[in-house]
Amino acid sequence: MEQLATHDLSDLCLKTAYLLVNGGAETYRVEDTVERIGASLGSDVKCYVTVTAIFIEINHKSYKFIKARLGGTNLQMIDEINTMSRQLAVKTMTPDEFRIHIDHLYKYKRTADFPFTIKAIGAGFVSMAPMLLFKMPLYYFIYCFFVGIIGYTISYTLSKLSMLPYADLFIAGFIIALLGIILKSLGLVTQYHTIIIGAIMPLVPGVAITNAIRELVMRHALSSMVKFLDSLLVASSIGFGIASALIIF
Amino acid sequence: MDIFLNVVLGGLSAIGFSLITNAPRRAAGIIGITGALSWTVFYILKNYSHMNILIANYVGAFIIGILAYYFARMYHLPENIIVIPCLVNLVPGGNAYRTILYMVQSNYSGSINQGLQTFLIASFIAIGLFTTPYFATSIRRLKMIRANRNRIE
Repeated sequence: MEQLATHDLSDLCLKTAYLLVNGGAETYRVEDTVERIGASLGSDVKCYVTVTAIFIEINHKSYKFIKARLGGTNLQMIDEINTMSRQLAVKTMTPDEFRIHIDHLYKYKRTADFPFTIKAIGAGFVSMAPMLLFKMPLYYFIYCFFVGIIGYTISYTLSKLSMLPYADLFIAGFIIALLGIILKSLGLVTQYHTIIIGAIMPLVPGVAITNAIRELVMRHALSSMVKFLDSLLVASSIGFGIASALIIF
Repeated sequence: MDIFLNVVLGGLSAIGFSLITNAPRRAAGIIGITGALSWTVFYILKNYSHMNILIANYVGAFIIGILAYYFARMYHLPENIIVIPCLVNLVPGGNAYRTILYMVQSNYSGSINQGLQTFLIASFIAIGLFTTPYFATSIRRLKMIRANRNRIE
């Protein structure tokens, strides 16, 4: 098996780790995957990942680090890199092919993605589930479907437009609560609480919470706490959006 | 009829969240099955047998954990891809919402009540999720120790 130069290998490992962190993988999984890739390429790689930085040591002599950023979720990215590293380990993929794929992913920073309309319809379905729990009549489901789609659309568009992290969720929460109040004042529904509860479901920071718990259990306390704080801030910015709408109207 | 609606919507909702987080396409069916099963069991336990909501959440999360563990190994997927979309149904959104609502209405004791309940439900979901991996790794280690001992003898 040909051996990559140390320089190339460290670049490859850093890029892989960066993509995994940006895709929303748990830190211990990132470290594990990178060390496995190093082992299957015949080098001794050590990797340390926090939420905002990735450190790599190759063969006890070359050190590198890269800055990462919190946020972003792309489960497709995690799955793709996972599959590739598995293929690399059983040698159905050559190191050169692996490097070309990683370079391609790193350059465009995106994988196959669903079109926005399908995502919005998915958000509508997510917001219908809580209606079951409260045993609501069927027309609530339909209102909730559309309010959920509107809330998700607003949050998605604003997060693309602005770099300010929590403002989009605040505005989305505000508008969801506003729509609920409008539906009630038009006499279409008898109470707006369940509509709001359903419609905020697509905005819940599910990935951050799940990863935070998993990392806490694996004793990666540092990144776990950062993710907990982030999901708490996301949840409270949605909550304060709703609260301000309820106070004003 | 009621149960049927639950199965369908539980699955659709899990698949919906998997679309939002851009899960791989080949996982959609697995996510749908896991989401539908866990949601239906949770719903039956909560609304028909009037069990404590903590236990209902625990059992729902436990089912997600055990199905995700086996599907992940069967189809070579990361476990997280299955867990995240299915978990979104169980998130205590209603309690979290009421925490904020009572805070706005200056009902602070009610708000603390609901906040504590949210926290408890979230912890029980976490415990349920980790039951299966914990026992699976323990059993695997036990088997390894047994095998080693047999080899030495």
